[in-house]
Order: sequence, then structure tokens, then C-alpha cells
Amino acid sequence: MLLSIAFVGMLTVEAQVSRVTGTITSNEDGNGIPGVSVVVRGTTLGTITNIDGEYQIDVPNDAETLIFSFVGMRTVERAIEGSVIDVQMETETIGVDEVMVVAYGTTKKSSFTGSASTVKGEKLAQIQSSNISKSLEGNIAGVQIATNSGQPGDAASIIVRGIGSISAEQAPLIVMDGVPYEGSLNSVAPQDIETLTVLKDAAANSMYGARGSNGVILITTKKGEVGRTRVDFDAKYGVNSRAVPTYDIITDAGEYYEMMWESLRNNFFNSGYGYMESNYMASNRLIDNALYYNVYDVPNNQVVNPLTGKLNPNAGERKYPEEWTTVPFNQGARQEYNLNFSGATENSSYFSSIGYLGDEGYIAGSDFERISARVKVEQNVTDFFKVGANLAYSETTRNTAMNPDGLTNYSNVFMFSQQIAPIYPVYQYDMETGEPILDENGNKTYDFGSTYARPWASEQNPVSTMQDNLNEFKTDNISSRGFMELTFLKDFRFTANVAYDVFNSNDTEFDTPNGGDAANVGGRGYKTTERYTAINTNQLLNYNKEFGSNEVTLLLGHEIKKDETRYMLGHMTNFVNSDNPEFANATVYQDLTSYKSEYALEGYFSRLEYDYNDKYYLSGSFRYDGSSRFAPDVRWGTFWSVGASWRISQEDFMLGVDFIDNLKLKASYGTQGNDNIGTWYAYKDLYEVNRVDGAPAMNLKFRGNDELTWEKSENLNVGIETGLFGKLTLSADFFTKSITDMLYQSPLASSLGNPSFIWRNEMDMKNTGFEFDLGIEMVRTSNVNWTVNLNGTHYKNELTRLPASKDQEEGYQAGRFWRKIGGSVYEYYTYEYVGVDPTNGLPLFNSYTENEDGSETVETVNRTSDATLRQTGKTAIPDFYGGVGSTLNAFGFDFSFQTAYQIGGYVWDSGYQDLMGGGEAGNNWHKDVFKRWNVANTDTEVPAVIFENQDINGTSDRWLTDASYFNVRNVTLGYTFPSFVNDRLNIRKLRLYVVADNVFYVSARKGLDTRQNFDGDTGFNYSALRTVSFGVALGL
Amino acid sequence: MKKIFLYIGILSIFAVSCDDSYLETNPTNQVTNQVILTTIDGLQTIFDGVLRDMRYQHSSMHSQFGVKSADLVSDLMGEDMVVEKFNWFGADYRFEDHGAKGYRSAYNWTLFYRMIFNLNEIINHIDNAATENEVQRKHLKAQALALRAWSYFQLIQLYQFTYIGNEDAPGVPVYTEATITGNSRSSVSLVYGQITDDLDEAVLLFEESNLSRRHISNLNINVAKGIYARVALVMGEWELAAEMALGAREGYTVMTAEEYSTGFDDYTQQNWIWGLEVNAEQSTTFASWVSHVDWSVGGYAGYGLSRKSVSSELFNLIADGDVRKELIDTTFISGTFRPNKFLAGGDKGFNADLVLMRPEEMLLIEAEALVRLNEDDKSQALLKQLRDQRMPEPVVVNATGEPLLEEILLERRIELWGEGFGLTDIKRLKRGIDRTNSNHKPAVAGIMVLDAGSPLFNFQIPQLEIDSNPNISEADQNP
Repeated sequence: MLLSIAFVGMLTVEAQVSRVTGTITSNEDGNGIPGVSVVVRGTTLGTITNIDGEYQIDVPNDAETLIFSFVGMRTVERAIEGSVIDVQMETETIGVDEVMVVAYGTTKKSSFTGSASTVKGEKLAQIQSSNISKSLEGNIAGVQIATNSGQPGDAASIIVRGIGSISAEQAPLIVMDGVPYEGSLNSVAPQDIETLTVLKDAAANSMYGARGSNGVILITTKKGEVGRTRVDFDAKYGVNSRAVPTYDIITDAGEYYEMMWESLRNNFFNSGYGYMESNYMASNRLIDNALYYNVYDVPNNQVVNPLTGKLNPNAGERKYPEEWTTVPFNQGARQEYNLNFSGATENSSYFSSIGYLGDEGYIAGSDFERISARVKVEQNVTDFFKVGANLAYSETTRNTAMNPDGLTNYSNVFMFSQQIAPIYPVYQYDMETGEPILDENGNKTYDFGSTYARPWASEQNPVSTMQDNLNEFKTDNISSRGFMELTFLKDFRFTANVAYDVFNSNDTEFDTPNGGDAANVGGRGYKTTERYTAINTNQLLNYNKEFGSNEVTLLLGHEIKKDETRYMLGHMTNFVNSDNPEFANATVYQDLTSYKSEYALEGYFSRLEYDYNDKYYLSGSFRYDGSSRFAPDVRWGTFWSVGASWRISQEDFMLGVDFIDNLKLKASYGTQGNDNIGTWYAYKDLYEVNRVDGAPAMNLKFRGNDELTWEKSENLNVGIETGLFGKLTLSADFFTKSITDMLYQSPLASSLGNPSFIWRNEMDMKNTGFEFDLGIEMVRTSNVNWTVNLNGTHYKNELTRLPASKDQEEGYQAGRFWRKIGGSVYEYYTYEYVGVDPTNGLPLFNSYTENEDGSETVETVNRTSDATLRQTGKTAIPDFYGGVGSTLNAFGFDFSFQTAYQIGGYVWDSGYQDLMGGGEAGNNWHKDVFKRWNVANTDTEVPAVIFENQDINGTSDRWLTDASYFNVRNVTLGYTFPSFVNDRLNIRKLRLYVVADNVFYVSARKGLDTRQNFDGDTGFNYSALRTVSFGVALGL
Repeated sequence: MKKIFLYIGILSIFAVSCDDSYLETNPTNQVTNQVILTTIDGLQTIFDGVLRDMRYQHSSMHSQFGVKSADLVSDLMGEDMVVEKFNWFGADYRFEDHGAKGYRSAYNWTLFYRMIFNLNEIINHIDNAATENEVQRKHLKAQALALRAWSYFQLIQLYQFTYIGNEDAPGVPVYTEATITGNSRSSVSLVYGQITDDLDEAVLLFEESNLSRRHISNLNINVAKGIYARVALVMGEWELAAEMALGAREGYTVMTAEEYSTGFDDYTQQNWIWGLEVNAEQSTTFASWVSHVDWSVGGYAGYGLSRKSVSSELFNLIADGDVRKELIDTTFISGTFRPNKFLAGGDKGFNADLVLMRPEEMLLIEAEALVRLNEDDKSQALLKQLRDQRMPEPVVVNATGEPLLEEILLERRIELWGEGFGLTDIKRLKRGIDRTNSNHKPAVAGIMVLDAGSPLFNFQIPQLEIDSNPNISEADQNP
């Protein structure tokens, strides 16, 4: 093709012409690029560069522009001025003809009929999370992230194009180098990743039909490139701090005493005591009967003046400091080092890397460490036979100071430090003198509240238990991938892939005997070992043939997969030495158990693609899968897709339209499945073997359903991809995702015993939405390059079928939600808070009574137990979410940032609810309590404080809070030394940079992180990490 | 030549295909039902599973730990147990958890129906199950029937008023087969009919099999008769109640004051008819009976998060010198009445055993039935027999008629405090509650006075039941 252009060029020499010469070089290494096509715009005149990157071309005098293009490089246009035009070309980043990774192979982006988004490995490596799932926030249209825990190593939850399932798993399938990957993403070093692609619609993921219902994430690791050997070293070191601050809680002891005094006083007054009597009782009892800790040097009954309710003016300096908001939190270090070598010859390529990551988090006992290594080799054995192997090992060690499932436990320091009143210390102090109480070695001792009877969380001190407890999860992640590829009969290619992944984990959970929950039993230890293996093999037969302008590609394949878990758990108590968590040190046996379980999957699939003249594309796929989860008769499911795309910009009638660089329309429709319901044995009644009184005992644990089968999602996608003015790229998709026969834990009448549910395929749901990805090139000169990217997603979730046992008209209550046809799956159902009764300060809730004629009467009541639960119409699902980012390269400097945003949706702010109570001895308040009702302030939304009154902060829509947020996810500033420096140092590249994660976060209420769960639940979670690091990248 | 690769390729796709057994997988930590429903030994393991379930923590909530959490609620919904501070069980004490959407109504309901489902599996399969020991078959069937009767008896007392005067009121759904389709509410009399049928058959089978039980937590003829005595007392069948109570305590003597003081934590130290043993491995720690009631163990009571006291009103009604008064400590924290009856701190700690039936209760049932049969002499003698073991010196019981009945009922409150008879006695006697002249704090208690007919005494049918059972609708709900 290129040759023929050159030939045409020679034939047209006779016209009135002038000669232009020049050299085309790569911006990366300055070397000439051979084979670049040079074409006169608007004509068929052209040539290609020689081996040194040089060209010469005769152009007509009326010609204005030359176009330089090369696959993989950004196309450059230059006005014809003068007779020498040298061009430096750059590697393509947002170009049109990218090669992209798709299911079981690669394809040209231009011919792709599906919807997929790709993030480059460099961008992932820039973000400093220890788990790449967290790096996706705001990066990809259609992808939503929930971060339950900011603890290093912990994963974020990912959903693609909306809520995918209610009871079954809704996380996307992860495919690494062509084969599903079942391990944690925290085992993968981002520096090893070439690209991460999210497949979103039917055409894209139906080849993973069986398990692609929730979308597919394809991770492709780096490989060597032809050219010289490359060595890259990257090091960064930084510190962590807390990205989401605490709630605006009371930190002044005096303010707390005054408020608690008022709470007690109101309670006495409401119990029938006289006004002055109540005041005096409150002053007398404040310390001696309620709080027990007096931080001031005044008598206990004189801390608050009974006449004014104000702090005694003589209460000056505190006897001991306020410690809970500071002591538990330390700036931990984060360090990451990565070294990789790569290279390739014509017949072989290799990539290898070693890496280390150590992240201390910012509370004790929450560190994460990863040591990783990878070797990837590909070799052409003959001209038709190719083999490859990819071996990765990583050891991850994760210490969790707190369990994300136990956010309300007293061992959760994020909860504890915000809820405990600012009058209690972390360490023990003598209440008379305020002097710290030291142990025999002169060290501070922890205050468990025993000596002075702390009324709140007595016998608990999470700072101490964090130091002494151990929750260590150590995993060996071994991932091996191998393939062989045979090319034969010119058009055929046969590939066999084998993957064997092994995850060996050894977990220790140890609760110290020194205090806290396990003090009583002399310490408690659990040891778990688990060996999880996943074998996956597939065989692919590929046929590709061009007939004139027609190109046909056919793929036939077969895949089998088998996962196996071997598990063993031991449990002992009574540890002799308080800091040795090993069982050899424990004396009381509690439990020992082990089991093995298996999961198997088999699938047959085919795909047919047709391309006419690079203009019209059709694709179709079919897949037939069987899952061991389901009964033999209903085990097999069929999944299919069809897709088409039309590159309008290739049409002749578009030739004159200069401002459109690329325009493609695409559409697809198809089905995918989901079988991921947690258990691997869905169709059998299962009894758990237990023991009691020295005999075996069986308990029914699972009700099988032999009719249970695949959940299916039907996906429609209509999209447009365009490039305009050489500056702007836009892809936008409209989608619907209809999930039918949803795998649902259908509740049984409670009188039918336990388990109280049976899995059924009985609900339907639909997500309808659109998403877009916009890239803008703001400035582009030889020295300055500034781009901006923006993405956004909106979707609406709608239930279309309810379980058969439910009222189809009215809907039904599901915990905190009301589910009805047409409503969303997370639509809140709670009491209506009206405000405060101005006469007595009590909260008001609506109570509805239905009259005989069907109308309703509303009255207000003071207690939630008398109020009526109502549909609020508010949902946890956001209206809009996405991200904005920008990159500026100028004179060697680079600056970039990435942000994430969400607009709309509601979360349940239970942390705030806990801090707005009527008063509980030792429990702190949010500063909003200063707006409470009292006789001087009757017009307010905040009820009076009344000691131990549960209705003051009773459950209601008062706690539903706007979930909108804006987060600056990452900011990077770097400087790359110019090539003359490199030459002198004999290196390829040197870059210094500063990078900061989670720099800024804002939501409706300070202290509230709205990103925790897709269902709007929030808690005192391990807040996101802000990490600021300095780094060096060196290339040889 | 190269064509051969094509054939190999195509062939390999199918050659590597697996036969059907590839997709057949089986768990190793669980057992499928076919294995255990066909033999007596298998059914025995299901029965032991039910016994395990009676003392199991069923959720992360620390107020849901089996049948003793239901017992604790029964006392908290009475007037003799005082809660010092709102925490777990606070809503039960305040009568706020009995509604359709309350946790407690749902928990109590599922707790007993879960047992019934499994007992039905046993009863449905036992006649055809393989065994070489017919006696074992009878013994297991008798236990399953008696325990099913007990479960229905617990349910009917919680979800409806007492038997007498409410015979035609809607009761609870009755299932005699393990199924997945919900039934409608049977009338109170039908539920009691099922209970007495099961107990009649159980007593007969126990008599025929005459096997000694393996463990204190298993049922035997004494336990079956004891359950029957309780049922008969509620139904007003006084002669039957007296006869069954006597049969139930056959072979048992009244505990001495010294035994009474050993802490109710170890069945080997006390003379229980029926109880549940707890061991270290199966202890539910913070979510346990002792955690909430025993101030000496570091649980909710011990840490002061939610102490349960004796009501001062009851305290004042106990005679000085009575060991049961000696076991109430008023000096530990002034103004509180710390019960030391369940003092497990020194011995078993969180592994305290759980009492379900004692000869003293049977003696009191017999005494009450006798006084209602106008056999005051016999009744007085029984009461004396008990009180002689509680007082430092032998006592004289000379009341007759109504005053004697009142003495016996007071004796029940004193002797059985904290053992789960609070709400059931209040409903049986139709007396309501009055917490005012006592140490109940209005801010914590919420409700201070309730009339006998208050709907708050009945749990509502859980919403989940109404939502998922086509045969029970909102119209069938308790007020």
C-alpha cells in the first residue's frame, strides 16, 4: 500500500513542483523513524522515509500542507514553508488506529463495534494506592467505585454501568493476560501493567459471556519492545496523612461538660423535678454519677454552675491533655521501588521486573507490604510457531488495624476517637494531680477506664489494643500464564493458553490478653491457612481472510476452569506470653476445622467479525457455558451478541469535511451471565457438621434449588466516536442494561425455619444511562502540550419485576429500602423528621393513619415508635459521576491532575446520627448540637438534649445526606532532563517528580466520606489516605 | 502437510472437552440431605443440631443467642428485672421491639420455627429410617415430639394472650411437615391441641423406650412431663398439672441453700431437670446470658454497659435471712440491687451452663395447682418444703385459699427470678405490670404501667412472615 503511494508520487513529477526534504525523528530517543508516510494533503501524492528517517518529496506549488503519519505515532500536519521540514513525532496517546486488547485477542480500535475504555499503565502507576482498584476512581466513564476502607492494601468495590445484581456478586470479571484472575488486585504492581481496559457492552464482553454480566476488566502486562534493551528504575518515598477529616466534634472539655449538664438537667426536669432542683442535681451528679472524669482543678460538684449552667470560671488549665484526636494518628511512611528490564529481538522478547512497596498507613498496625517479581518471555520458535510464558510472584503482607465489617466495634479507633467525650485520656492520669501514671519501666500506661469507671466503652482502649493486637494477612500470589501459537495454512492461527494461579494465605488474628475484648479469656488467637488455586485453559482457533475489500475473522474456542479452595482454621485462647500470637504459646483449645471446595466451569464459544473496506464492521458472538454451581439440567446457558459499526469519516462524501478527523457510529446488543452467588453448591440442601455435648450435630445451612440457573443481562449500546479539528476526541454511549432472572436470595416465610431464604431467579432490573469521554488538546506546540480530559456517567436504576411472593402493586420493604416496580433498588424507606416542637424541644416525626375512605391523616409524634415509615423517594444512586483531569507538558516540566466527582444521591450518615443524641455519659457530640432547642432558642431544627432519650436522634430521613462530592485524586509535578544531559550521563531518561494523592475532598458534611458503599451505607471507616511523595525515574 | 495442524487444532478444541463429571463438584465441609435423612443415626445428628441451635449466636447482634435470650426478654417485659442503662435488650425492656418490624418479634419467631422445621424433618422421616435398634427410634421420636411441643408452647405464649378466654383467637401457624409453603394462623385451641397431642405421644414413647438420656440437654420423660405441667397450668387443667409436675420431679430433690448459692452456672453442681451445657469452644462470650445478667463476668453487666438489677419492690418483699435476699448485693453500687444468683465469675465465666427446668419450679406448679383444687394442706406442705431450704430456720406456712395462692405466686417470682417466667406468668395470670413503686427509671424503662389487656404484651407477627407467606396478611396481624 505504502509502496504504491510512493509509486504514484514518482509518476506525478512532471507537474509544476518544488522539492521538500527533511528528517523524521522520534521524540523519545531522537532516532530517525523509517517508513513514515508523507502525503500532500488533499492529494494522493506521497512518499515514505528511508532507513534513517529521511525523505524527499516533490510537491505542487499550490500544495499547502504535508501530512506525516506512522502507525503508533501521532499524525503530524505541517504547512509547506521552505524546502526543509524536519518533524519530531510522538507516540500516539489518543489516536484513532490504536490496537486494543479485547476478549481472546486484540483488534484495531477503528474496527471495534463494542464499548470499552482503556487506562494506560503509566497513569495507574502514578497513583499511589496499594490496590489498583482504588486508582480507577474518576478515570473511566461508566465505572463507579466505592471505597469502604482506606487501609493500605484494601480493595475498592467496582461496578460497571450501574448496580448489577442485588444478592449476587456485582464486581466485574478480571482477566489478566487473557485468562481470568481470581486473586486480589493488591498483588499486582501497577508498574507491570501496560494497559487496563474495561469492557462495558455486549459486543465487548459477551465473549466472556458466562461471567461477563458485570463488565470485564482486562489487564495486560508489559512486554519487551524491539529496539535496544531498556532498564527503568522508579523510586518514590512519601508520607501519609488523613484525607477525610473528622466530624466537627466538640473538642473543648468545658463545652462538653456544659452540654452534658444541660442534658442531665433536662432529663431531671422532664422527670418531674423542679427547675432549680434539676439544676442542682445536674451539677451534683455531672461528675460523680455520670462522667466520673474531672479534667479541671475544681470540686466535682462545682464544674458547672447550677445557676447559669456555665463552666466554673475557676476551671482553668486542664489537668491532662485532650489526646484521642491526636495520639492514635501518625504520619506513616510510604515507599515504593520498581526496577524493570525489557528488550526484544525480531524473534524474542522479554520483560522482567522486581518491585517493593511498603505503606504504613497512618494508624499503628495498618501497614501493607508487597514484594513482587515478574518475568515475561515470548519466543518465535519457527516462522509459524510461537511460545510464551509469564510468571509473576508477589508476597503481600497486610496488617489490618480494623475490620471493615466491624465499624461499630470499640476496637475501631476511627469511631472511638470521634465518639468519646474530650474529657477522657488515652493514657492513665492521676485524677487528683493530673500526673501520668507510669509502669515500672517509666512508660505511660493505657487508660481502659477501669480505675475511674469511665462510663463509655469501659475496659476498652483501641490505641492499646491496636498496638498489641495482630491481624496479619500474608499471601503468596503465584500467577503463571503460558501460551503457544501455531500459524498455518496462511489464514489459520491456533492458540492454547494455560494459566495456573496459586494463592497461599496464612492469616493470624490475635487479640491481646492485656485488655479489651479478649482480656477475659487470656487472649484469643485465630490462625487460618488457605490455598486457593485456579486452573484455566483455553484453545482458540482463528481464521482470518481478506477477499478484496472484505475481511473475515472467525474464532472458535473452548475453555475450562477449575478453582479449588483448601482451608484450615484453628482457634485458641489463653496465651501465656502476651506478645506471642503463636499457638505453641496458648493453652486452651477452642476450635479446629478444615475443608476443601471446588468450582468448575466449561465453555464453548465462537465469534465472527466482518469488515468491509474499513468502513462497515459487523460482529457476532455465541457462547455456551456450564457452571458447577447449578444442577445438571439447568447448568448450561447460552450467551450471544451482535454488533455493528460504521466509520462515516471513511465515506467519500466526507472527504471534503476537514474538521472531522474521525466519526464512527456503533451499536450492539447481546446477553451475558452471572453465576457468582458466594456458594459453590447452589442446588443441594447442605447441612453443616457441628458438635454438641460430645456428639456430632447437623444444622441445615443452605436450602438448595435445583431450578436455579444463570442470571442474564441484556445490554444495548449505541455510541459515537469522533475526533474533531485534530484537537478533540469524544466518545459517547447510550446504554441499557436489563438484568433478568436475577439471582436473588428470596426470603421465605419466617415460620418455615432456617435458612430463611432460598436462591431463586426472580427479580428483574434495568439500568438506563449514558456516558461520555472527552479529550481536548488545549495547546500543542513543539514545546508545550496541554490536554484536558473529562468523563461523566448518568444512569437510572429501575426495578422491573419483584419476587413473586411480594405485592407487585405497592412494593415491599427490604431493610432500609422500599422496593417497587419503577423504583430504584436503593430507595430509602424511613420515618419522616419534621423538626422540633418549639414548646418543649422534643423531635417531631410524622404519623399517618389511614381513614376509612382511604385518605390519610397526618399528625406529629415525638417518638419514632409512634411514627410511620414512609417512602422517601430518595435513592443512594447518584445522578451523575465521573472525573476531570489535565496534563500539561512544557519545556521538560510536566504537571497533571486527576479528579473525581459525584452529583446527587443520598447516603445514610449514621456517624452524624450517633453524634447528635440526647446525651449518653461519655459520648461526644457534633458541634451542630450548639444549635439545639432551649428556652432561648426555640426556632431550630435540632432537638433539645435530654439524657438517654433515644428519640432525640431517632432513625429518620434527617440522616439522609446529599452524597455529592469532589475529590482531587492525584496531582503530579515532574521535570524530565533534556536529552543533552542524558547524553552526557549516558542515560536514556531522568525525571524527578512530586506526586500527591487525595489532596482535597469535599462533601455535604465535613467528616463524612460518601464514597463508602453503593447502597449509601456509611460508617466510621478507615479514612482515605493522603500521600505526598517525592520520586525519581531513571531509564537506561 | 500443514493441513494437519488445522485438524489437530479443531480436534483439540473438542478433545480437551470434559465429560459430564467435570462439572460435578461436592463440598467437604457440608453434607447433603440424602445422606442423613435416611438413618436414625443421621436423624439423631439433626436433633443434636437443634440442641446446638438453642444456645447459638444467630447474628452479629449481641441480643440474639438462642432460647435464653427469649427467656431474658420475658423477664425484661415484666416488672421484677430492672435495666440500669439502655443497650442491647433496652428496646425489649421499653416494649419497643415487639412490633412487626421489631428485631425481637422476628428473632423469637424464627428461633422456635427453625427448631420446628428441623424437628419436623426428624418426625417425618423417623418411621422409615434405617436402624437396628427400635428403642432408639422411639426414644428419638419422643424427644423430637416433646421438643416440638415445647417450641409451639413458647411461640403461642409470645404471639397471643393466654389460653383461657382466648381459645378461639388466632394463634400461630402449625406445621407438622417440613415444607416451603407458609400456613395460616391456627386458633389458640388448635395450637394447644397440637402441643398436648405431641406431649401425649412423647410421654408414651418415653415410657416404652425407657432409655436413659445421654446428656442433661437431651429430653427424657421428666422433661416431657415438666413441659406438660407448664402447659396444663396455662390451660387450667389443675389435676393434670399437679400430676405432671410431680412426675417431672420424680428422682429430684429441692436444692439446699448452699447449692442455690453456687451460681447457677454449672449443671453438675445443681439439681436441674433440663439444661444446656456450654463449653469454651461454643461459648458466645459477649452475646451470652451471663454477659447480660452476671455482674461478675466482664460482659455487658460486668462492664456496666447494661446492668440488670432486681427490682427494689421485689427485694423488699423477700423475708430477711432468705438466701435469695442474701444473694442480692445493695452495697456494690449504692442504689442498685445487684443479683448474685447467676454468679459465674469464679467458675465457668462465659461458659456458664444454662438452666431450662428445675424441680423447684415443678414443686411450685404442683403447689399452685393443689391450692386451686382446694387441697390447701398438701400445697402448704410443698411450699414449706421449698422455703425450709431457703430460710435459716424451718418456716411455718399457714395461709390458706387466696392468700396461700398469692404466697405461692410470690414465691415463684422470688425463686425463679431471671429464669424467663416474667412475661409468661403475667400473661397467664392476666395481671399487667406496675413498675412505679420501684427502682425502674422512667427514662430507661419508657413504660411504667401496663394493663393486663395491653396489646404490647403480644409480639406482632414479623413483617417478613407477612411479606413472604401468602396465607398471612396484614389483616391477620395482632393489634
